[in-house]
Amino acid sequence: MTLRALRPAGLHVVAVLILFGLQFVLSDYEKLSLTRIMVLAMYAVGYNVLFGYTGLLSLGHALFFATGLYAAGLTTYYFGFTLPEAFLFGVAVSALVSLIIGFVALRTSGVSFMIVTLMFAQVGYLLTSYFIEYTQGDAGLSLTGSRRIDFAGMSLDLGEPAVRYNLALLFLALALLVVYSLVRRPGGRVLVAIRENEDRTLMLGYNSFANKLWAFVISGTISGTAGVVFALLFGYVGSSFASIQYSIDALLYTLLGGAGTVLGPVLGAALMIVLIDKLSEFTVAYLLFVGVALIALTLWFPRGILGTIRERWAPWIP
Amino acid sequence: MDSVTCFEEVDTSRPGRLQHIERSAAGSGPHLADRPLLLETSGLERHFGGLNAVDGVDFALREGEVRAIIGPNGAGKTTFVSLLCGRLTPSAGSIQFRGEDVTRLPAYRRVGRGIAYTFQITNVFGNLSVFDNVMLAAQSCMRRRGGFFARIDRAELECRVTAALSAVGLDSRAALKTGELAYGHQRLLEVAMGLALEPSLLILDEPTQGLSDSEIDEFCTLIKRIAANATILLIEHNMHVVMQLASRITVMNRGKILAEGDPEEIRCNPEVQAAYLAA
Repeated sequence: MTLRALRPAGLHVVAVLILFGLQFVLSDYEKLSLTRIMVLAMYAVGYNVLFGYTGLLSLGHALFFATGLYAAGLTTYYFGFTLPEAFLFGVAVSALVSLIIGFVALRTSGVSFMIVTLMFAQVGYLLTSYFIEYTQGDAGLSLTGSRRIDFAGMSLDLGEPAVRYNLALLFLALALLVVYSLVRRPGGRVLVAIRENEDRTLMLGYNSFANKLWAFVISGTISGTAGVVFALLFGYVGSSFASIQYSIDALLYTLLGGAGTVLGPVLGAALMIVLIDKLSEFTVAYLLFVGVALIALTLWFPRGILGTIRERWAPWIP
Repeated sequence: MDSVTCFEEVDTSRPGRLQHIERSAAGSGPHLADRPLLLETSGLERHFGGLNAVDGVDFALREGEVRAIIGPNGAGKTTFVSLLCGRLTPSAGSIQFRGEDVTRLPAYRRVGRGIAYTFQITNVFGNLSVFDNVMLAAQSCMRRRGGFFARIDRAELECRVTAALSAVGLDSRAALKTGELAYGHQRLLEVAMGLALEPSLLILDEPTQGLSDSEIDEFCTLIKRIAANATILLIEHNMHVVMQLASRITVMNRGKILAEGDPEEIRCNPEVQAAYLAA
């Protein structure tokens, strides 16, 4: 195998190694911030499977993030699930919810699909308020109970910043691995084919509904798992994570970093969150600057940062 | 030439292909009427509002034929083949393929049964490379039995793609972005995609439309080669192409079959002359 053939995998390994190395140079506050960024990046990486690769624009992905968040959070809070139990339960519920919603939503396409996913997400958001007795709505719940995991003779304390950082990195790396291997496989090429020309894909003998449903479930489960990880690492669940703002965020991170590139959403999430953090130190009108940045992006770099780099200089980026 | 050999090797893995390969060109081998039926429609209808685009068509196609469907604009030719490949559902009637009723099967399943359709208006993946376009077709053919997570042998896949591309003479352009291909080459790519599906019935909808005379000649040579391995159903306006390729011709007019026969019979048929050839 030549060096060239190793470039795509190498790029992703280097990206993960850089994230790993950063913990030794960053301050505690920056480390905490990057932990949060990595979890939200994982959420966007899941979103990108559906939007970037399959060409389906969902406006309701916060639903999946919140599903994982609440499935893990509520069971820990009310039923005393241990961390691994809550994790597995959260992932399973995310997969099930994405399967059911995908099955219904994929009967539509285009604008109708956007509206249907948006409506499902609004139902999810309103449910968190309707059951405020249990969820405490916006105020949310702080998870109590054990913050330790005993695993293979090691004892991990989620209260420690370094543990949280590395767990967030581990899950982000796993999500990247899943998406990377998906898009390099024949199945991933079919998703891109559906994005490019669904009619033709059907006439090549592919069941486009089944393929889109797979993409939907993989996407929803990765985004849901990000929600699970968020709840368990930060010990907090609140209904703001189910709001439309979070659905839009996933779209913006993906567009900024480059839809249809594996690393794009990570780059987009990092840049957008850091930008908002820095700007909000100076002005309350920070969203104005974010808006201007997005208009500039749409006008001059419609394919996002990595998408543009791929188009102009590095066509091998997956 | 190596890659063409490889294509035939791949072919032999499919049951029922060997006897086709041994036949050198369409029209030779056993007499047409003795060959088994591949496709049959009875009372096939498709209405669009008050318009009967296809109006009670009884049609039969035997294995190994090169059948041309001709007829004036609006005769219902494209609607008819769209019903055959499943892009449209019929209002009434039935379609049998190899003795199986496929009337209600979705299009993608019919492709799995061996019916491939190439579009009248070039319909390829413009943003993907030429190689990737054909790879999607070859991959579909290879995983008919496997499902979404089927393991696909990369070397065999690439071999099939290269074979299909060299069959139409596009192998030197494999790495190009499809949108940058000349129109004639995009038409050839359509055919390569059809070939990579290894269909038992290849439906070509006006394949020579927009091609230059020299391209049309090359195209006819290509179709003759393909006809050795597959049954071909061809919608075509260019009578020179039809007369050169077709073993039988079906003439459609106003959604019905007006006449059917070998090229000589059709040429002499007064009804056909009145409806179509007179001009």
